[in-house]
Amino acid sequence: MQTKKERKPIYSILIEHREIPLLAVLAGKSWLNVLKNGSINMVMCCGMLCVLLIGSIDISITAILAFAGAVAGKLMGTGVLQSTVLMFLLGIAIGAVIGAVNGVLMSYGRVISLIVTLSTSYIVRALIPMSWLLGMNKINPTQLTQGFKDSLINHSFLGLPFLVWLAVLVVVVTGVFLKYTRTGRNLYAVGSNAEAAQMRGVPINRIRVLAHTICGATAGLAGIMWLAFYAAIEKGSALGDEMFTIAACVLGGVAVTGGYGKITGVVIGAVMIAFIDSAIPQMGIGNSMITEFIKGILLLVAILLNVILQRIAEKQDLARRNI
Amino acid sequence: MKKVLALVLTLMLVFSVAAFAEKAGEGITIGVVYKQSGNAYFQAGVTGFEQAAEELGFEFMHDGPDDGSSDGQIRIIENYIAQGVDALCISANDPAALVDVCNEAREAGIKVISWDAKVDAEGRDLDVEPASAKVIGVTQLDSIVNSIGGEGQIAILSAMATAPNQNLWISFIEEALNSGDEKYANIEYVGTVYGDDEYTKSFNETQALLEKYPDLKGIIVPTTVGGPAVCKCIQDAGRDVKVTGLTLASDMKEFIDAGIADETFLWNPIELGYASSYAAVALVKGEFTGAVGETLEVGELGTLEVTESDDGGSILFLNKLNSFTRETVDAWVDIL
Repeated sequence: MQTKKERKPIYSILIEHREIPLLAVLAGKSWLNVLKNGSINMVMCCGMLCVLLIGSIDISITAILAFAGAVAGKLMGTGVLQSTVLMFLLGIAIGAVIGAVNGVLMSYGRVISLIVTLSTSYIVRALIPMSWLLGMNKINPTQLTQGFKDSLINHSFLGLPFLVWLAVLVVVVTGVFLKYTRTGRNLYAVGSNAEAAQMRGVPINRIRVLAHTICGATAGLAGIMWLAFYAAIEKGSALGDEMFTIAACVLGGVAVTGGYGKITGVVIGAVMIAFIDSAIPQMGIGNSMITEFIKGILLLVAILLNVILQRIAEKQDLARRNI
Repeated sequence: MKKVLALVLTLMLVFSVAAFAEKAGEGITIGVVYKQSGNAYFQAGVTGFEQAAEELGFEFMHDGPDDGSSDGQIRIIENYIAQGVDALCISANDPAALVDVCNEAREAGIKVISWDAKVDAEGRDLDVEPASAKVIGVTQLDSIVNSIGGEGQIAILSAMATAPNQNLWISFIEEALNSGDEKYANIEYVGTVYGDDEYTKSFNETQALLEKYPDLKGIIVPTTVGGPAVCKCIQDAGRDVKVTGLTLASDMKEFIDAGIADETFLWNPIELGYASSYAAVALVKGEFTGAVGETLEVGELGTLEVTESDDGGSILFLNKLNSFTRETVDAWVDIL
């Protein structure tokens, strides 16, 4: 009984039935939101990839994010610092210093990185509410210059805001560094077999410090991006989000045991996490438990798939050798 | 000459004593306990006690634990009992945890008032709170209806889905919307989403609301964390959506100036401290027992009536919310 009038192109369903939320996200301009919301995590993922590659981990990144954002925001609020570029450089510097401390304690001090970065995350976050920094207050939009608030959101290139381009830049630089530089390759060497790398003359401790410094620097940069994007920062900002960064890396196929992982995988993982964060609210469930539930299931599936694929690959290897 | 001088001095002394004696709170000491030391909100509350102390002539001490804990508050209260205060005004970190120590104080003849955050009914003489849940809910609804010109879609962005205060306010908003009142006839309420009192979650939920409802006109945000996140999201999206809610003035100044919020609300901690002082003095002097139905003269706030609270105790509502608008927000920025 279908009349001609009722026949519509298939994509019109996507546009008209906005209650088909996932499709709506795919079809609509929500992709821009996915990319925007995922940019900050994407930048931190690049640093996290470096530490995961050497078989280490850093859970102090969001504490560094909040601290770097608070310090830079305070300096801008009191009028000491007005330049947008200097804000970003300051954030990177603060992050790099804390990351380097993590790295030194982990490599030369031979303390497990989980414990080192757990401690620094407590210490760094506890500094934020001290009276010389934020006290009981937070950084709010009135304390930031208009130029800084506009810098990442209201300037765009090829339809994408600078926020996204900044993440792209960090991804490209990290990708080139890991793939085409000797130091970058050394990260893989240290992570897959530190003893072998050392015998080959790789300065493993220096590589470890470097990896943590990079991770800290990306977290510091993320703090300034956060401040420019949300125009607010406080003691609890991004609390607990470091797990999403690690989850994005694992989803992207990075081995937490070190030595294996690609930047392309991490990009896909980070976009997936951002997609879940932006898509679930569209479904109108309005409950964060669902978001976390789906993230958890996805992580498990990703890891199981990894393990299964690896087993199949090993079996095929054995079969080929006719054992 | 000396005699004249002595006479003048004596008369001055007599008159000044008489002047002091006229003040109702003379000789009364109040111990004020708040949730956490160094919190700007409670510093404003103490300002209210100071104002009342000038008018009534009582003395007061104030303290709060560094860590916002109940046991820290218990230590402070025990210290006040030992010092022999006449009344305690407590903003409790936990309504149940302080009941025992409060009853210990009451056995020692001390009047116990909770303000801002209650001590359970069995441990207090009176609770002083800013406004009833109904007033808080309906004030926000009326404000957004005004802001959007009486018609269009509205949504609510709340804190946690389990937050008792927020859920109560929202239930009164929904009740008002369903009451058939003429002024809500053209308002379409699309629902409540939950930002979990997290900035990014609130931001993402707002993005989704804006995407899902292209004709959305207003959002009510009955939680201080959500307010700035919702406004920033609307500002970035460049949408013409109005916001109201319970917010801090310092968080919202930017967005009130930008016209995203015409008016937001929060109760005034100064008035809370002020009213608590009056209640404490009246209780100590025995002019007032804090029973349901009694009334109390509260200086410049006028006459307030004691009503029965949900937990069966008695409660004094100021029934007044402070509003922050483009004209008034600047005066509040440093306080809230």
